[in-house]
Amino acid sequence: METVIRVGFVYLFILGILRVLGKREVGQLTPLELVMLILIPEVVGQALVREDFSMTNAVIAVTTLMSLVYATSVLSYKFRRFEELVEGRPSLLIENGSPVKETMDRERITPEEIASEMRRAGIERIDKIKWAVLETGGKIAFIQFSPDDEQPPTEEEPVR
Amino acid sequence: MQVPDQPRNLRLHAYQWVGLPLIFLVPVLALLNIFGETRDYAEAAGSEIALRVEYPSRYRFKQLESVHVLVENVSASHVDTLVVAFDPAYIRQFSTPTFIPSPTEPFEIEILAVEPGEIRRVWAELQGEHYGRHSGTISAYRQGSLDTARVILSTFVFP
Repeated sequence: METVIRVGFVYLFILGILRVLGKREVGQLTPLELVMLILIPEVVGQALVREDFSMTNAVIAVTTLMSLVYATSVLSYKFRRFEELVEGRPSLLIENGSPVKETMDRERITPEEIASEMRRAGIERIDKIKWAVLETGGKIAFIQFSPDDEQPPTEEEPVR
Repeated sequence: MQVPDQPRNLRLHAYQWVGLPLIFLVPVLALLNIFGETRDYAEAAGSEIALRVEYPSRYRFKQLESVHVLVENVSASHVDTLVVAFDPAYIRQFSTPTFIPSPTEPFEIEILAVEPGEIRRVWAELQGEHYGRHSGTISAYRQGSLDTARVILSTFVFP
């Protein structure tokens, strides 16, 4: 019984921490975050299984974790508010060619990171972007202006 | 960008109808302590000796559990030597058995000078080693007497 409670607590605890850290921490692992994700199992492993190394305990811990994961995904699917609570909402980083400073500050996304993602997406200039959206998974999605859209005035300097 | 709003209904694959209840069942059973440690009691009495044993009836691999044995001289006379004997076949299913007091013979503990009505305690610690159900006996008798108090123990060790 204690294993189920411990796994449940640690699951909610880690889910809460990852949610608080933000989308970027989930989407892209910096060396610091990688260290964190390597250390977390080491730290919580003992707390989860205590001195009980039986197969029974392992099966209980894994099935409890899987049950929680599945229950979370079902609740996220059924209830939009719960989905937003667990996964967050996409954030607008660029709107009509202009960076949204407030969102960038909140999500700790630098202009250099956006420029890097733009190069990867094959986009040369920021004024060609209608929207850049930081998805809940941490990836940045770019929507470019279509020929029918009214584009903002072109700037000469491309984004670094 | 607007995403069309549509009712979200949960649908499962055929294999999920079977698998998911099984996955959810394990933690539920664990919460109900189906896989947890349980203890049981057993009592027996002869004309001279009464025996009461508290033992683990269910526990897990490599877990340590203790067996508490209380022996009482229920006769009206002094008992010089009282023997508490653990079934070797039962004890060998566990690892690192420890006894207090120490055995004089393998798995046999002698208790000296037991007055009428006196209760003495024997304690054993057993670590779960072999999976499955193990049964055996604990006997208590006055040395040299055929009158024996015997209890049957049954312990299940989860893998």
